[in-house]
Amino acid sequence: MGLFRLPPLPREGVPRSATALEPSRTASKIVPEVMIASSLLLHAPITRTAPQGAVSPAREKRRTMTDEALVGRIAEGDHDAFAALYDRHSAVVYGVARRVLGDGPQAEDIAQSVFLQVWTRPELFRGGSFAAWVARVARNAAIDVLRSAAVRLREPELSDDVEAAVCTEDEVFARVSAEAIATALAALPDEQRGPIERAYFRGLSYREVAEEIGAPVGTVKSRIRTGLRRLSDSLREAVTP
Amino acid sequence: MTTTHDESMLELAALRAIDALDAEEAKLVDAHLAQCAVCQAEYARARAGAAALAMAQASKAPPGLRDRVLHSAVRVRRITAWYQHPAIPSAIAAALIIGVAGTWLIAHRTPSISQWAASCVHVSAPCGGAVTRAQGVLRFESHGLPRLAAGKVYQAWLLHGKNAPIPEPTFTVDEGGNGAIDIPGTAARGDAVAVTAEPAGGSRAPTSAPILVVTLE
Repeated sequence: MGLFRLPPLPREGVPRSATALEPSRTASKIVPEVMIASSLLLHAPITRTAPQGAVSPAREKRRTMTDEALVGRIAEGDHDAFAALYDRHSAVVYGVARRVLGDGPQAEDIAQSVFLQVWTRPELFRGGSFAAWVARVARNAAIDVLRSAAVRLREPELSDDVEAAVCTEDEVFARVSAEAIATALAALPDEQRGPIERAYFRGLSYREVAEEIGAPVGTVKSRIRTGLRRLSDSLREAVTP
Repeated sequence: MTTTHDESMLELAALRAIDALDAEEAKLVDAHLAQCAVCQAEYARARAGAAALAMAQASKAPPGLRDRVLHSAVRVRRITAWYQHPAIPSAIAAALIIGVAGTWLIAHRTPSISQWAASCVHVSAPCGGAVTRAQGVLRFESHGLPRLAAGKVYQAWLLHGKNAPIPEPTFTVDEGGNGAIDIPGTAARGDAVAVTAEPAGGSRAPTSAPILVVTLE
């Protein structure tokens, strides 16, 4: 059975190929199979996760690594790093999917897909806050499921250039606590929070929101914008030095 | 490249951040965002605000999910490790199929109906499916798979232990991404079925990463 060995693997620490390192500028615009095939991240053997209960030094080390470092390890096939990232972020990913799709297998399926995508295409994360990014990925995936039977589809993501320019704003999440986020949300007036949640978790357009709550379109637009600004400002104020 | 900032776009930039625009407005805003730093900043702020809302939804995932995700990851990697590999010579592939199928026939004796759900590995195209085994016959059904370009088909693979993926029939999907095939042979507990996109006629070894994976556990 020696004939069936896997292809030769590069030495430890060899960087991924240039193709894999480059932001996939066209990934969202080309046909799905090409997009999938472009994930050339399979150069390293799988590091199997140690059995639960046994905490190996390597596993212990993963617990103190930054999200960014863990994502880097995933690109090298580090299963322990993947497990550590799952342990850190599964509550948010699952929670967002559950908020959109309700209790049930769909939310679990989405959470699983999101993590498997992180595993197979870690290069999609371009920096900023992994937590904010993966929360968004989960929201978008869940909304796609919600809307798959509806008329209005989600608009495609923005171009990579814009993405690169705006993802640094997310870095605020590396320096605010979960309590600070909760406080910021609690301070948001219901009249702003309501329309934002309807759009974000139910996938409604601002016009649909206006219709649902019986408010003028202009009012809804401005409440959403004001609310989002307010949230973001509170987070910045809560940043710990 | 920057262009003159348009004040009326600010509100729309914020709405774009939570994906609350209609398609035409979104297109307009995207074109403007690509060139206007002021509106980009507004978009980024609004998006961070929305991320806070998302992160506040944290809710402990069901206990079984962790194992499902981590096990699927191993299986996904096993098949992807093969897809860059040159196609294995057909004689070797055939020998392998016979060898492995023999093992399965011995291992598999359960006549009851079982069903396993597929995991989608591709979140931008929410898809799913299941493998059903009734009277020893494995049947795979998909939904939501994206339509493929001309000259491409979907192909199923059976994964058994650390052996090479066994090529299974190819299939195409209708507008709802629905497709179905019978998978000849039988599988043992712990085996997996994966689906990849392949050139028409199918491949002897996967040439792309899997889109769906079903673990028969």
